[in-house]
Amino acid sequence: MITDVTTLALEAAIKGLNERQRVTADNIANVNTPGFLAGRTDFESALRSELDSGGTPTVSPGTVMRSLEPTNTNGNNVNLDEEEVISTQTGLQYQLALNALSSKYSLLRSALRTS
Amino acid sequence: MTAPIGGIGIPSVALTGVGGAAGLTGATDITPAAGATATQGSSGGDFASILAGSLDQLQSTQSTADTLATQAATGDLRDVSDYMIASNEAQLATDTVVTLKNQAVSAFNEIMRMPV
Amino acid sequence: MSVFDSLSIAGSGLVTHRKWLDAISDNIANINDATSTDQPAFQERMIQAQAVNYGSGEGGVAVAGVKFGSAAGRTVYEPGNPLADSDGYVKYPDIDLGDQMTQMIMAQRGYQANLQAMSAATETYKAALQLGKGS
Repeated sequence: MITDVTTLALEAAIKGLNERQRVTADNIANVNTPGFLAGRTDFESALRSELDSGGTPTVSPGTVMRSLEPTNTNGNNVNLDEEEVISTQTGLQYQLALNALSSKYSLLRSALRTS
Repeated sequence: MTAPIGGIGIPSVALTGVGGAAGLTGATDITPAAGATATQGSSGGDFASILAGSLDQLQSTQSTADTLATQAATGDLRDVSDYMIASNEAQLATDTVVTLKNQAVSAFNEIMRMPV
Repeated sequence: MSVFDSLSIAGSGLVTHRKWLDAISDNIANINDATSTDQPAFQERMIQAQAVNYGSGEGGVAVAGVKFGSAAGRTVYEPGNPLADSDGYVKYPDIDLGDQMTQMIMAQRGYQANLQAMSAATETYKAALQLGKGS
């Protein structure tokens, strides 16, 4: 029902951040698995290019890529500090996007008030 | 949007706060608030132009908040507090305009109910 | 990720200090590797840290490379050692345990300080996200 660009962009961001949170948890769980390459997601560049070209942002979470950082002796390349930072940042960005979306809804709601 | 109640001149509330006090440097004589003495208010201070001015401001605050929200979605926002301040301003501006509109409508209805 | 920059910057500090700790542990683990005198000794591994975007105030730190200590080592007279040469000398790495322990304390304190910076930044951002609520 609500189709303005900002709302769609925020919804796409929320889906992308959810995916990133899941992939980060997967990485942390596999910190000792031999041969495991850390997963990385990127929805921002697709979203940015769609917004720049003026189209409506699609709400797909993007694909999961594997990080190509150097591995340690058993083939695992998960860096626990990096995953911790990514997890904290994703949580905060998720809160920001939710805030933004809910304040858009409350703007609409207060415009509909009649008393 | 034309204002159907443009003819009514309601004494305007001073929107500039306590005018006359000499800042925060410890003024000794504090003149009374400008609104207390004015009966006509500043020029263009009737209700219709206040409403129109608030609508203009509302448009600009909402579009600022939208731009910053899009930047937050793509991760390009430089400062989180920028967006939070803009969204709060937009919310306050919307509430102001809606309240003014509701008051205007109820005042109009009140007057229409008066027996001639 | 540039919305919450301070977290990435503190994170780069964490990664660098952990790599430093890894290098120190590696040095300490190999401190008694004996080699024969015609072969290079175990070389001390040192991490080269470099500021990213120096002067911009918002780059963080990265590991620019690894440097190795001297391969000459120190020769010790141990005729009973199976690796001893004809004069009875064996080569040990030129690593000072006291120096490594000092570095270990510094790396640990650096890591903890970066953790503090990260949690302070997180608290700040959470407070910013609450702006306007609570009425």
